[in-house]
Amino acid sequence: MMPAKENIRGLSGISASPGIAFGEAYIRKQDSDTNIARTIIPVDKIEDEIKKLKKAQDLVAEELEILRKKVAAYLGPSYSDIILAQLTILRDAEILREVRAYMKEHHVNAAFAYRLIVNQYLDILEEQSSEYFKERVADIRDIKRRVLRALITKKSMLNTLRMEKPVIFIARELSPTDIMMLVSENVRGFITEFGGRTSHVAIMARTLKVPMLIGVEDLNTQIQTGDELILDAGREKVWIRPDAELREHYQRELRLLQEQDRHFRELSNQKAVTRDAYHLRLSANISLPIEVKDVLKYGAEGIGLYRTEYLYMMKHQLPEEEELFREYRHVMKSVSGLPVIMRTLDFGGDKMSALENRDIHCEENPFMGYRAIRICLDKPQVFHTQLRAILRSSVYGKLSLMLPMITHVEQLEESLEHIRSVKDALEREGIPFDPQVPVGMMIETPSAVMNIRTLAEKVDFFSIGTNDLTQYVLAVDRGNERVNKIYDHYDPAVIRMIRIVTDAARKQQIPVYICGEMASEPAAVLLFLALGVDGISVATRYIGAIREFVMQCDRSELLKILDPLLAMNTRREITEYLDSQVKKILQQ
Amino acid sequence: MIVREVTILNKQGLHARPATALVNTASTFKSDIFISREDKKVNGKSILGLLVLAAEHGAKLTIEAAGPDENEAVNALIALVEDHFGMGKNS
Repeated sequence: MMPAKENIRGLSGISASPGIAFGEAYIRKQDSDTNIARTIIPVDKIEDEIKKLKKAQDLVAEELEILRKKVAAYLGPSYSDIILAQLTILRDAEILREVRAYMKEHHVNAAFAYRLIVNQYLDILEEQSSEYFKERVADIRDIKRRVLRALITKKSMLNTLRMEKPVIFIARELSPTDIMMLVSENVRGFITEFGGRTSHVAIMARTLKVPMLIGVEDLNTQIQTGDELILDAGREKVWIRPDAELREHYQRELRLLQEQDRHFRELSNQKAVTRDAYHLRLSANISLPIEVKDVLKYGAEGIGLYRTEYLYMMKHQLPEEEELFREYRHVMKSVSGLPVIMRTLDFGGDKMSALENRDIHCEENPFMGYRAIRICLDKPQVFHTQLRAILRSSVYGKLSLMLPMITHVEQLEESLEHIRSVKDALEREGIPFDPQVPVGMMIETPSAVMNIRTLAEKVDFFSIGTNDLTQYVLAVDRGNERVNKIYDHYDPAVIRMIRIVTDAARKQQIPVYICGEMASEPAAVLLFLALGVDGISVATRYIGAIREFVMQCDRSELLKILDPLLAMNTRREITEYLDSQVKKILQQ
Repeated sequence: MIVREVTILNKQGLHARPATALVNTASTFKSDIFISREDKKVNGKSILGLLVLAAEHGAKLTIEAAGPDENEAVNALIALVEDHFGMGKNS
């Protein structure tokens, strides 16, 4: 426990990316431009003033170019054209012409004229309601902010941000490009007032492993630039001007975490094998290519779930086959021959309409609605583009393909038909791919579980997505605070469903994996070992701890827990029973 | 000055990628190029201007060019629009 002291102020928020960070507060000033003064520039100085504007644009262009390289390096080359859209806006000839004309007519300073002209465009574009235009408006506003800052400070943001010492960066709101721009040795954490746990920014912070706390109220009144801070994002707290005791407490914890990390890395060349030699394949879940280095660092045996949505989500339009192919090939080549399971598109219809530049049709019940495989089967063009890219990258390593959210047999058959027709087309075109690519499916709907025997005959493997399975079995949205207490993957209904799947897989002799959050909990690992699951896939940060835990287990002992466990009728019994088993193993 | 009319064929309308292609093509000509739709008229070399037009699938645009290479410019732009901005007939 941390010492709770009355004289030390702490603010609470929502954890967007866990971790502990020390640093000075650095607050980005309000992103408002209403205070830009209108000053009169004599006629003979107007050309000089225009030169200043051009210089400011050059500085921003330089900024964006560095940003583009950084995005390519961190996220992969396919992401860098997010920045190209901003460059086109920056270099807009009409803006410059109008600003120049306005300055000449009214004899005013560049910053004032630039702000006025760009705002006129923003006013018109803001009236457009489509999601697509909202993204554009955000880009234009971002460029305006950058140019005005460069005009006023005559410095590029890069110089201002070359932090001399470790800082915790604080702003009302941060964009994915902000995060990209800021991530560096000395930016140790982020705190914002706005933002959601599932926003792009949060995903990015987690991927880059930078602690981030969002939804913190009263930031501006409570924290000042220069304040010493300790950010404990995992516990959803930030401490302002901590005393020596609190500081030592966290330094100890940080040291402990670092030691643990070193220890786990030392074990990274060992497999997750129980005392009696049962091998549980331990793989990693990833969303972005940058995470491959952690897959290797912690010695995962492969990528058990590569979520392919992010390239789509970071873009303003549907990516092309070549972009997808480049991205997938990059992952296949950097993973050093380890097996990779690529899951086809798994997102909701809202994002799809945004990509298609259509107005979003709000669904009353999106989790039951237009999403994942349902979108792909409805839009074969989109599905084929991705399948082609995935199959083409199969020649660069051990690739498997996985279909999400299948509910019934015909849906699986239809998906397999699409895969066959894409393979035929590639063959006709003489494009190389591995014709033996294994095709598996996620088990995440109750209907799939009830049809499991027929499904097992048609695929090469199963992967149980416990998050969605729990949500659909218990009919509960875990994002809904009023009902999320009902969400519990130790519910007997969920456990019995998993049992049905593992049994069917064994009968058909196909491997079965688990890729939900549940797999990162020791209690669940016991259950999976007992059920004879072939492998689990977890976020890279859990690999070390789970491996060490598996190595302390004895599967022959665990087989004895299965019958009592499956006979239990309440989640409390199940949780208590599994927890006591975990304790027993850890005490040995 | 050359003036011609053209219809947007892309299903998604004149969004960022086609608008960027149009700006890039227009910028290779010396002539002044204006694109108009109903009562709005914008500089064909401006991405912001084209976005303001909010031209969806089926929108009719008027392309006008004035300058030394006005003929080539209008022809190139019409060809680009009719070719679905090089993004394929299904786009």
